[in-house]
Amino acid sequence: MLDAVLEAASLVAQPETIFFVFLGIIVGQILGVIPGLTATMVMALIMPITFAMPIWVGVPMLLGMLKGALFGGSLAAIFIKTPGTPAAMATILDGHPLAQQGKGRKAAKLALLSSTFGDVFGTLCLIFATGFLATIALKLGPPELLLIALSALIVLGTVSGKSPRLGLMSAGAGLLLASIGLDPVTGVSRLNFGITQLLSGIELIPMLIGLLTIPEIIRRMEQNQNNTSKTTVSFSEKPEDNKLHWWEIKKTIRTLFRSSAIGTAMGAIPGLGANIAAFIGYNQAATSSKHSQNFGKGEIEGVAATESANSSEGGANMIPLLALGIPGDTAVAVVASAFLLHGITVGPTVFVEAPVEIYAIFIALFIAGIFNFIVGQGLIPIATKVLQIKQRLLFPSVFIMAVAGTFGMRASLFDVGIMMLFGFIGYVMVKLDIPLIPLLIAFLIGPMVEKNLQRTSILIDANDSFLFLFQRPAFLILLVVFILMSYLVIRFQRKVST
Amino acid sequence: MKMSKQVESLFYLAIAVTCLFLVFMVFPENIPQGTGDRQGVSSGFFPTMAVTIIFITSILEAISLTRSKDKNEVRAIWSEGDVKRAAIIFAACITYVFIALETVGFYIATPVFLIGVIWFLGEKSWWKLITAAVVVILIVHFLLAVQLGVTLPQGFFSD
Repeated sequence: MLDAVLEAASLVAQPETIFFVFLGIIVGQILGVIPGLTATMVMALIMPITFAMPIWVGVPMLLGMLKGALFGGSLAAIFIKTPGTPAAMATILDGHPLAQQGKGRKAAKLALLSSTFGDVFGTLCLIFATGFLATIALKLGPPELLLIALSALIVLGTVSGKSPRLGLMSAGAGLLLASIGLDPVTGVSRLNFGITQLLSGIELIPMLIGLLTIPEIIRRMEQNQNNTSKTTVSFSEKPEDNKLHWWEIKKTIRTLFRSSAIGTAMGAIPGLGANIAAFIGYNQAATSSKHSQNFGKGEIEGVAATESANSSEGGANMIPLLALGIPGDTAVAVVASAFLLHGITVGPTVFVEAPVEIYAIFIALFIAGIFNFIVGQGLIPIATKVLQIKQRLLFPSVFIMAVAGTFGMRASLFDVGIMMLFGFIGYVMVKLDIPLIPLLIAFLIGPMVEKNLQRTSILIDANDSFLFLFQRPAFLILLVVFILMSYLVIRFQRKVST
Repeated sequence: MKMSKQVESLFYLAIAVTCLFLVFMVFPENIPQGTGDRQGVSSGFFPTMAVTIIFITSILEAISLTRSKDKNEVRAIWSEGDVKRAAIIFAACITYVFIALETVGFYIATPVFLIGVIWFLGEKSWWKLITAAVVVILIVHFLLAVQLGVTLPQGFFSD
């Protein structure tokens, strides 16, 4: 193991890795500031380019973008009351009142500090928890893996969107789309309608770009022409309003630990997302603080709670992906796609098949955390300028990037057509409040579900009854965990929505 | 543009009917039948299971919408004027992707598309329109053609 870690460290130390991680952070922070340009959207657009890079450069660059965008999103939330990314929604509650008091710089500095703290916390948990969980996952059989995958889908379907019915419908659509192409057991092609490009199934990248970017681009372009921000950003003249004091940091330490732990736990459960983590972190901070009456009026603990929670979730949501092969949200689904582009199927065996690459990614994640802090220090004045970019110039340009990125994968206009088709489907789904996340995740884990379903059915045939499943201790434990988790997740979601 | 709950429930019923069509008309034609010696579930089981999930949830959603207290409640899908703008933008995107890229190629279709759409969205400054088009084409050309060696669509110039 030590050899693998040392080899990984030497890979990360190369200038190429350092440069692209740094670049990812800068791009993520700048684009994260722009409302509507979500981290996932940017990651999906950039992902085809990572094909030309080694995996230990491409994946940390994407994750650097995610980290950068999470912080960039909070700047827009603080300064113009519009979250740059959905994860920063809760930061508005106390961040914007602080900006209105002229303390925007203080709020932004605290957001950066909290974001870095949560990020490092989440990354540490990712490193220590993933290996342990993967070791356990390797000992599980098809029925247990099927149960885990189905649990993830049911939880995702239930908590994503306004109604569990629509979430589950979306997951069903993802499973149906995943079944187009090769049967993972027999290798026979099905549902290809005689189209040669569909013999091996729907290409992931065009679908991903179509669903994640096109609906948002069209939604932004269809809006009224005067859509640029008219909000002015003002700063206080008093130095104490712009500086973050040590006593203020000390005041938030307990909140930072608690919210980071909440964010990490939320990240480990597929489907909850950084925005839910931020609201739960905020809620806990508000109820347990000595200054709870100040929450919502510009309390620095509120900013610390939301930012540490959403950033720790950003690191921890890689846990289910690396340990079990189940991406927890759309950003991680993009990362999983980048792994697939390099021929690496993510799951518990990844530590055996590609240990050096995984350790290199872990090390690069720490470096990305430090870069995020450094770049963030210089971003605050730039952010106020970026916020003024007109959306009518931006979104048509992003559309061209989406088309070019999709075409660049295989130099195929068929893929661009698939991207447009899924863009249209995604647009209709967004308009009808049908969540996209279950569809994407179901599409990604569909083959895993089908393979384990097939193997479980063979085991049931061999045992003449499904009752043998209840004689397997791991199956029983997972079943109880699943029932408890579903109960907690639904309860949490109800609490958040109220 | 607004959609009443009754119309929305009809939409979900239409999805349910499409599911039935898929299972009874499309799947038998497009899913190869097993040879009989295969153990466990067949190739058609998984897609049928997925369609069943969609069928059940769409029926439940349709029922839930028709049972809601205020049936006349409407959902605002587009604000005033947005539907027209959305249709025009979609039409422009479809023309660009399915016709222009294949006929005139990337380097001609893209500036025309970008200048046209940005102008339609309200930007009347010509230097901004041209700058946006040039910058985007240069970025795409540098990343794809120069860095990755991808030949962007040439249209009838490819010969």
